[in-house]
Amino acid sequence: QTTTPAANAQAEPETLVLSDTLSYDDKTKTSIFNGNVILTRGQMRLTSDTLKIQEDAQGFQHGTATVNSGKVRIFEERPETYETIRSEGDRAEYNGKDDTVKMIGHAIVNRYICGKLLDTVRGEVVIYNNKNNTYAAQGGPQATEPGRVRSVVKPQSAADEATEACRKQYNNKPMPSTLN
Amino acid sequence: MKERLPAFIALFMLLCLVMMTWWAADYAQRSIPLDQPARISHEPDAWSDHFIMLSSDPDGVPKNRLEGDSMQHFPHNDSYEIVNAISTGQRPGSAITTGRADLATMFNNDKTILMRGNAHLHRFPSEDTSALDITSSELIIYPEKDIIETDKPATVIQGNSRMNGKGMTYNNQTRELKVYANTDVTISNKDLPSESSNTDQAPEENTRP
Repeated sequence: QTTTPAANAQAEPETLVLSDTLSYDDKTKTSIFNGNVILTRGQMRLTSDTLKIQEDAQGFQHGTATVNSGKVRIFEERPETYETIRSEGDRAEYNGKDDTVKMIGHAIVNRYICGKLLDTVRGEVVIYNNKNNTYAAQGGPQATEPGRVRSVVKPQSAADEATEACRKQYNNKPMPSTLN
Repeated sequence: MKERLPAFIALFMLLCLVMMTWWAADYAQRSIPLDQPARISHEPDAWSDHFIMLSSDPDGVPKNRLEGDSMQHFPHNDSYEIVNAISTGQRPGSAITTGRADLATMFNNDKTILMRGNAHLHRFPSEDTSALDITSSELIIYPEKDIIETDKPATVIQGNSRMNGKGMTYNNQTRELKVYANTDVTISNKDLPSESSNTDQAPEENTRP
Protein backbone atom coordinates (compact mmCIF):
# COMPACT_ATOMS: atom_id res chain seq x y z
CA GLN A 1 0.00 0.00 0.00
CA THR A 2 1.81 3.03 -1.20
CA THR A 3 1.39 6.22 0.79
CA THR A 4 0.84 9.34 -1.33
CA PRO A 5 3.33 12.11 -0.70
CA ALA A 6 0.60 14.29 0.82
CA ALA A 7 -0.48 11.65 3.33
CA ASN A 8 3.20 11.20 4.15
CA ALA A 9 3.60 14.92 4.56
CA GLN A 10 1.28 15.18 7.51
CA ALA A 11 3.57 12.95 9.64
CA GLU A 12 6.84 14.56 8.46
CA PRO A 13 8.18 17.57 10.39
CA GLU A 14 8.74 20.90 8.69
CA THR A 15 12.16 21.80 7.36
CA LEU A 16 13.60 25.03 8.75
CA VAL A 17 16.59 26.59 6.99
CA LEU A 18 18.57 29.59 8.27
CA SER A 19 21.21 31.20 6.07
CA ASP A 20 22.74 34.53 5.14
CA THR A 21 21.25 34.75 1.66
CA LEU A 22 18.79 32.84 -0.50
CA SER A 23 18.20 32.63 -4.22
CA TYR A 24 14.96 30.90 -5.19
CA ASP A 25 13.96 30.10 -8.76
CA ASP A 26 10.25 29.38 -8.88
CA LYS A 27 10.44 27.96 -12.41
CA THR A 28 12.94 25.24 -11.59
CA LYS A 29 11.83 25.03 -7.92
CA THR A 30 15.44 25.45 -6.86
CA SER A 31 16.53 27.18 -3.64
CA ILE A 32 20.19 28.00 -3.07
CA PHE A 33 21.06 28.98 0.48
CA ASN A 34 24.44 30.60 1.06
CA GLY A 35 26.42 31.45 4.20
CA ASN A 36 26.17 29.81 7.66
CA VAL A 37 23.46 27.40 6.54
CA ILE A 38 21.62 25.60 9.33
CA LEU A 39 18.91 23.13 8.31
CA THR A 40 16.74 21.68 11.06
CA ARG A 41 14.25 18.93 10.37
CA GLY A 42 12.66 17.28 13.34
CA GLN A 43 15.51 15.91 15.46
CA MET A 44 18.12 16.36 12.72
CA ARG A 45 20.32 19.41 12.10
CA LEU A 46 22.70 19.96 9.21
CA THR A 47 25.31 22.73 9.02
CA SER A 48 27.17 23.75 5.86
CA ASP A 49 28.26 26.77 3.82
CA THR A 50 25.93 26.18 0.89
CA LEU A 51 22.73 24.20 0.52
CA LYS A 52 20.90 23.64 -2.72
CA ILE A 53 17.37 22.22 -2.50
CA GLN A 54 15.53 21.23 -5.64
CA GLU A 55 12.04 19.82 -6.02
CA ASP A 56 11.60 17.11 -8.62
CA ALA A 57 8.63 16.64 -10.92
CA GLN A 58 6.82 14.50 -8.33
CA GLY A 59 7.42 17.14 -5.68
CA PHE A 60 10.11 15.32 -3.69
CA GLN A 61 12.92 17.50 -2.40
CA HIS A 62 16.58 16.74 -3.06
CA GLY A 63 19.31 18.62 -1.22
CA THR A 64 23.07 18.99 -1.69
CA ALA A 65 25.14 20.57 1.07
CA THR A 66 28.75 21.65 0.52
CA VAL A 67 31.38 23.57 2.39
CA ASN A 68 34.14 25.92 1.33
CA SER A 69 36.31 24.67 4.16
CA GLY A 70 35.84 22.24 7.02
CA LYS A 71 33.11 19.62 6.91
CA VAL A 72 29.41 19.28 6.36
CA ARG A 73 28.07 18.10 9.71
CA ILE A 74 24.83 16.35 10.57
CA PHE A 75 23.70 15.95 14.14
CA GLU A 76 20.73 13.76 14.95
CA GLU A 77 19.07 12.99 18.26
CA ARG A 78 16.76 10.17 19.33
CA PRO A 79 15.61 11.19 22.77
CA GLU A 80 13.54 8.05 23.33
CA THR A 81 16.54 5.74 22.91
CA TYR A 82 19.06 8.26 24.32
CA GLU A 83 21.00 8.06 21.04
CA THR A 84 22.83 10.86 19.25
CA ILE A 85 24.39 10.42 15.81
CA ARG A 86 27.10 12.74 14.54
CA SER A 87 28.16 12.54 10.88
CA GLU A 88 30.57 14.59 8.85
CA GLY A 89 31.95 14.58 5.34
CA ASP A 90 33.05 16.75 2.46
CA ARG A 91 29.54 16.83 1.00
CA ALA A 92 26.07 15.62 1.92
CA GLU A 93 23.21 14.67 -0.36
CA TYR A 94 19.61 14.18 0.71
CA ASN A 95 17.16 12.26 -1.45
CA GLY A 96 13.59 13.00 -0.46
CA LYS A 97 12.15 10.18 -2.53
CA ASP A 98 14.25 7.44 -0.93
CA ASP A 99 14.55 9.40 2.33
CA THR A 100 18.28 8.77 2.44
CA VAL A 101 21.16 11.01 3.47
CA LYS A 102 24.47 10.35 1.74
CA MET A 103 27.64 11.66 3.36
CA ILE A 104 30.31 11.77 0.65
CA GLY A 105 34.09 12.20 0.93
CA HIS A 106 35.98 11.25 4.14
CA ALA A 107 32.65 10.28 5.66
CA ILE A 108 32.51 9.47 9.35
CA VAL A 109 29.39 8.50 11.32
CA ASN A 110 29.56 8.17 15.10
CA ARG A 111 26.73 6.83 17.25
CA TYR A 112 26.58 7.73 20.93
CA ILE A 113 24.31 6.49 23.66
CA CYS A 114 24.10 8.63 26.75
CA GLY A 115 27.12 10.53 25.45
CA LYS A 116 29.29 7.40 25.17
CA LEU A 117 30.69 6.63 21.71
CA LEU A 118 29.53 3.17 20.66
CA ASP A 119 29.70 2.72 16.89
CA THR A 120 31.87 4.39 14.26
CA VAL A 121 31.66 3.91 10.51
CA ARG A 122 34.26 5.47 8.20
CA GLY A 123 34.43 5.32 4.42
CA GLU A 124 34.30 7.37 1.30
CA VAL A 125 30.51 7.31 1.29
CA VAL A 126 28.16 6.50 4.16
CA ILE A 127 24.48 6.23 3.27
CA TYR A 128 21.92 6.52 6.03
CA ASN A 129 18.41 5.30 5.23
CA ASN A 130 15.82 7.08 7.37
CA LYS A 131 13.05 4.65 6.45
CA ASN A 132 14.64 1.48 7.72
CA ASN A 133 17.18 3.10 10.00
CA THR A 134 20.18 1.42 8.34
CA TYR A 135 23.68 2.51 7.33
CA ALA A 136 25.68 1.44 4.30
CA ALA A 137 29.28 2.42 3.76
CA GLN A 138 31.47 2.30 0.65
CA GLY A 139 35.24 2.54 0.42
CA GLY A 140 37.02 4.63 -2.14
CA PRO A 141 39.98 6.91 -2.70
CA GLN A 142 38.45 9.60 -0.51
CA ALA A 143 37.89 7.33 2.49
CA THR A 144 39.81 8.14 5.65
CA GLU A 145 41.71 4.96 4.82
CA PRO A 146 41.84 5.01 1.04
CA GLY A 147 39.84 2.19 -0.50
CA ARG A 148 38.64 0.85 2.83
CA VAL A 149 35.61 1.04 5.08
CA ARG A 150 36.38 0.94 8.79
CA SER A 151 33.61 0.17 11.26
CA VAL A 152 33.91 -0.14 15.00
CA VAL A 153 30.81 -1.60 16.61
CA LYS A 154 30.60 -2.22 20.37
CA PRO A 155 28.70 -5.30 21.64
CA GLN A 156 24.95 -4.95 22.27
CA SER A 157 25.56 -5.37 25.98
CA ALA A 158 27.58 -2.16 26.04
CA ALA A 159 24.72 -0.40 24.27
CA ASP A 160 22.16 -1.79 26.72
CA GLU A 161 24.33 -0.79 29.65
CA ALA A 162 24.67 2.77 28.37
CA THR A 163 20.93 2.95 27.71
CA GLU A 164 20.17 1.75 31.23
CA ALA A 165 22.50 4.38 32.69
CA CYS A 166 20.65 7.07 30.79
CA ARG A 167 17.23 5.73 31.77
CA LYS A 168 18.21 6.11 35.42
CA GLN A 169 19.67 9.53 34.78
CA TYR A 170 16.45 10.79 33.19
CA ASN A 171 14.03 8.80 35.37
CA ASN A 172 12.70 6.79 32.43
CA LYS A 173 11.87 9.94 30.58
CA PRO A 174 13.24 10.77 27.08
CA MET A 175 16.47 12.74 26.93
CA PRO A 176 15.86 16.51 26.58
CA SER A 177 16.51 17.71 23.04
CA THR A 178 19.31 20.22 22.41
CA LEU A 179 17.93 21.17 18.98
CA ASN A 180 14.80 23.08 19.88
CA MET B 1 40.95 121.55 -29.09
CA LYS B 2 38.46 123.00 -31.64
CA GLU B 3 39.44 120.53 -34.31
CA ARG B 4 38.71 117.63 -31.92
CA LEU B 5 35.21 118.85 -31.16
CA PRO B 6 33.56 116.91 -33.99
CA ALA B 7 35.23 113.72 -32.76
CA PHE B 8 33.91 114.25 -29.30
CA ILE B 9 30.44 115.01 -30.61
CA ALA B 10 30.51 111.81 -32.68
CA LEU B 11 31.69 109.80 -29.69
CA PHE B 12 29.00 111.33 -27.51
CA MET B 13 26.31 110.52 -30.05
CA LEU B 14 27.64 106.93 -30.31
CA LEU B 15 27.42 106.55 -26.54
CA CYS B 16 23.90 107.92 -26.54
CA LEU B 17 23.00 105.44 -29.26
CA VAL B 18 24.42 102.52 -27.27
CA MET B 19 22.62 103.61 -24.10
CA MET B 20 19.34 104.08 -25.98
CA THR B 21 19.65 100.63 -27.60
CA TRP B 22 20.38 98.97 -24.30
CA TRP B 23 17.45 100.72 -22.63
CA ALA B 24 15.11 99.80 -25.48
CA ALA B 25 16.16 96.13 -25.32
CA ASP B 26 15.70 96.07 -21.57
CA TYR B 27 12.35 97.79 -21.79
CA ALA B 28 11.18 95.30 -24.43
CA GLN B 29 12.39 92.44 -22.29
CA ARG B 30 10.54 93.71 -19.27
CA SER B 31 7.36 94.43 -21.08
CA ILE B 32 6.82 90.83 -22.30
CA PRO B 33 5.15 88.86 -19.48
CA LEU B 34 7.25 85.74 -18.92
CA ASP B 35 5.83 82.46 -17.49
CA GLN B 36 6.02 82.52 -13.76
CA PRO B 37 8.90 80.24 -12.66
CA ALA B 38 7.39 76.99 -11.33
CA ARG B 39 6.72 77.73 -7.69
CA ILE B 40 9.02 75.42 -5.69
CA SER B 41 6.28 74.32 -3.49
CA HIS B 42 4.93 71.01 -2.33
CA GLU B 43 1.30 71.72 -2.95
CA PRO B 44 -0.51 69.44 -5.38
CA ASP B 45 -1.62 70.90 -8.62
CA ALA B 46 -4.11 68.13 -9.42
CA TRP B 47 -6.12 65.72 -7.25
CA SER B 48 -9.03 63.32 -7.57
CA ASP B 49 -11.09 60.74 -5.70
CA HIS B 50 -11.56 57.14 -6.89
CA PHE B 51 -8.43 57.35 -8.98
CA ILE B 52 -7.75 54.81 -11.73
CA MET B 53 -4.79 55.03 -14.08
CA LEU B 54 -4.36 52.47 -16.84
CA SER B 55 -1.25 52.12 -18.97
CA SER B 56 -1.14 49.89 -22.02
CA ASP B 57 1.41 48.55 -24.44
CA PRO B 58 1.77 49.85 -28.00
CA ASP B 59 -0.98 47.45 -29.12
CA GLY B 60 -3.36 48.95 -26.61
CA VAL B 61 -3.36 45.94 -24.32
CA PRO B 62 -3.46 47.07 -20.66
CA LYS B 63 -0.25 46.23 -18.77
CA ASN B 64 -0.59 48.16 -15.54
CA ARG B 65 -3.47 49.50 -13.56
CA LEU B 66 -3.00 51.81 -10.60
CA GLU B 67 -6.03 52.73 -8.58
CA GLY B 68 -6.83 54.14 -5.17
CA ASP B 69 -9.27 56.01 -3.00
CA SER B 70 -7.68 59.36 -3.79
CA MET B 71 -4.78 60.79 -5.78
CA GLN B 72 -2.68 63.93 -5.61
CA HIS B 73 -0.17 65.07 -8.24
CA PHE B 74 2.84 67.15 -7.16
CA PRO B 75 4.44 69.28 -9.91
CA HIS B 76 7.79 69.86 -8.17
CA ASN B 77 8.85 66.28 -8.81
CA ASP B 78 6.02 65.11 -11.08
CA SER B 79 4.93 62.44 -8.58
CA TYR B 80 1.56 60.98 -7.72
CA GLU B 81 0.46 59.98 -4.24
CA ILE B 82 -2.39 57.47 -4.05
CA VAL B 83 -4.14 56.47 -0.85
CA ASN B 84 -5.17 52.81 -0.37
CA ALA B 85 -3.47 52.00 -3.61
CA ILE B 86 -3.80 48.84 -5.68
CA SER B 87 -1.27 48.28 -8.44
CA THR B 88 -2.05 45.47 -10.84
CA GLY B 89 0.42 44.22 -13.41
CA GLN B 90 -0.29 41.81 -16.23
CA ARG B 91 2.09 40.70 -18.94
CA PRO B 92 1.92 37.91 -21.47
CA GLY B 93 3.84 34.95 -20.12
CA SER B 94 3.86 36.17 -16.51
CA ALA B 95 1.41 35.63 -13.69
CA ILE B 96 -0.77 38.59 -12.74
CA THR B 97 0.44 40.49 -9.68
CA THR B 98 -1.42 42.92 -7.43
CA GLY B 99 0.36 45.18 -5.01
CA ARG B 100 -1.53 46.90 -2.20
CA ALA B 101 -0.45 49.48 0.36
CA ASP B 102 -1.78 52.26 2.54
CA LEU B 103 0.04 54.84 0.42
CA ALA B 104 1.68 54.55 -3.01
CA THR B 105 3.97 57.12 -4.55
CA MET B 106 4.57 56.90 -8.29
CA PHE B 107 7.51 58.86 -9.70
CA ASN B 108 10.47 58.64 -12.07
CA ASN B 109 8.25 58.99 -15.14
CA ASP B 110 5.81 56.41 -13.74
CA LYS B 111 8.60 53.83 -13.76
CA THR B 112 8.75 53.43 -9.98
CA ILE B 113 5.93 52.88 -7.47
CA LEU B 114 6.85 53.06 -3.78
CA MET B 115 4.26 51.15 -1.73
CA ARG B 116 4.35 52.11 1.93
CA GLY B 117 2.35 50.85 4.93
CA ASN B 118 1.14 47.23 5.00
CA ALA B 119 2.62 46.66 1.59
CA HIS B 120 1.47 43.34 0.18
CA LEU B 121 2.18 41.81 -3.18
CA HIS B 122 0.10 38.87 -4.34
CA ARG B 123 1.15 36.85 -7.38
CA PHE B 124 -1.70 34.73 -8.70
CA PRO B 125 -1.11 31.01 -9.24
CA SER B 126 -0.29 29.84 -12.75
CA GLU B 127 -0.36 26.42 -14.32
CA ASP B 128 2.86 25.20 -12.76
CA THR B 129 3.11 27.14 -9.54
CA SER B 130 1.02 28.18 -6.58
CA ALA B 131 0.32 31.71 -5.44
CA LEU B 132 3.07 33.78 -3.87
CA ASP B 133 2.63 36.55 -1.31
CA ILE B 134 5.22 39.10 -0.20
CA THR B 135 4.45 41.39 2.72
CA SER B 136 6.61 44.13 4.16
CA SER B 137 6.40 47.66 5.52
CA GLU B 138 7.63 48.90 2.14
CA LEU B 139 7.77 47.45 -1.36
CA ILE B 140 9.07 49.12 -4.51
CA ILE B 141 7.42 48.06 -7.77
CA TYR B 142 9.04 48.65 -11.16
CA PRO B 143 6.07 48.04 -13.48
CA GLU B 144 8.05 48.16 -16.71
CA LYS B 145 10.54 45.56 -15.56
CA ASP B 146 7.93 43.58 -13.57
CA ILE B 147 10.31 43.59 -10.58
CA ILE B 148 9.45 44.08 -6.91
CA GLU B 149 12.06 44.80 -4.26
CA THR B 150 12.53 46.02 -0.71
CA ASP B 151 15.39 46.67 1.66
CA LYS B 152 13.14 46.14 4.67
CA PRO B 153 12.33 42.90 6.51
CA ALA B 154 9.85 40.94 4.48
CA THR B 155 7.89 37.70 4.59
CA VAL B 156 7.20 35.49 1.59
CA ILE B 157 4.49 32.83 1.71
CA GLN B 158 4.09 30.20 -0.97
CA GLY B 159 1.67 27.42 -0.21
CA ASN B 160 2.37 26.48 3.38
CA SER B 161 6.05 27.40 3.21
CA ARG B 162 7.19 30.67 4.69
CA MET B 163 10.35 32.68 4.24
CA ASN B 164 11.54 35.66 6.30
CA GLY B 165 14.45 37.81 5.29
CA LYS B 166 15.77 41.35 5.18
CA GLY B 167 16.03 42.92 1.77
CA MET B 168 14.87 41.03 -1.31
CA THR B 169 14.18 41.26 -5.00
CA TYR B 170 11.49 39.31 -6.87
CA ASN B 171 11.54 39.23 -10.67
CA ASN B 172 8.10 38.20 -11.89
CA GLN B 173 9.30 37.50 -15.43
CA THR B 174 12.08 35.10 -14.45
CA ARG B 175 10.22 34.17 -11.25
CA GLU B 176 13.46 34.43 -9.28
CA LEU B 177 13.50 35.58 -5.67
CA LYS B 178 16.73 36.77 -4.05
CA VAL B 179 16.97 37.45 -0.34
CA TYR B 180 19.98 39.42 0.84
CA ALA B 181 20.19 38.85 4.59
CA ASN B 182 18.94 36.88 7.56
CA THR B 183 17.13 34.24 5.58
CA ASP B 184 14.84 32.05 7.64
CA VAL B 185 12.86 29.54 5.59
CA THR B 186 10.28 27.06 6.81
CA ILE B 187 9.54 24.49 4.12
CA SER B 188 6.31 22.74 4.90
CA ASN B 189 5.86 19.16 3.78
CA LYS B 190 2.22 19.91 3.20
CA ASP B 191 3.42 21.51 -0.03
CA LEU B 192 4.27 18.11 -1.47
CA PRO B 193 1.72 17.87 -4.27
CA SER B 194 -1.04 15.34 -3.69
CA GLU B 195 -2.66 13.28 -6.47
CA SER B 196 -5.24 16.07 -7.00
CA SER B 197 -4.37 19.01 -9.19
CA ASN B 198 -1.96 21.61 -7.89
CA THR B 199 -4.66 24.07 -6.77
CA ASP B 200 -3.97 27.39 -5.07
CA GLN B 201 -3.07 26.44 -1.53
CA ALA B 202 -2.47 29.96 -0.27
CA PRO B 203 -4.71 30.95 2.68
CA GLU B 204 -8.12 32.17 1.53
CA GLU B 205 -7.66 35.89 2.19
CA ASN B 206 -4.57 35.91 0.05
CA THR B 207 -6.32 34.87 -3.09
CA ARG B 208 -8.82 37.76 -3.16
CA PRO B 209 -7.63 40.08 -6.00
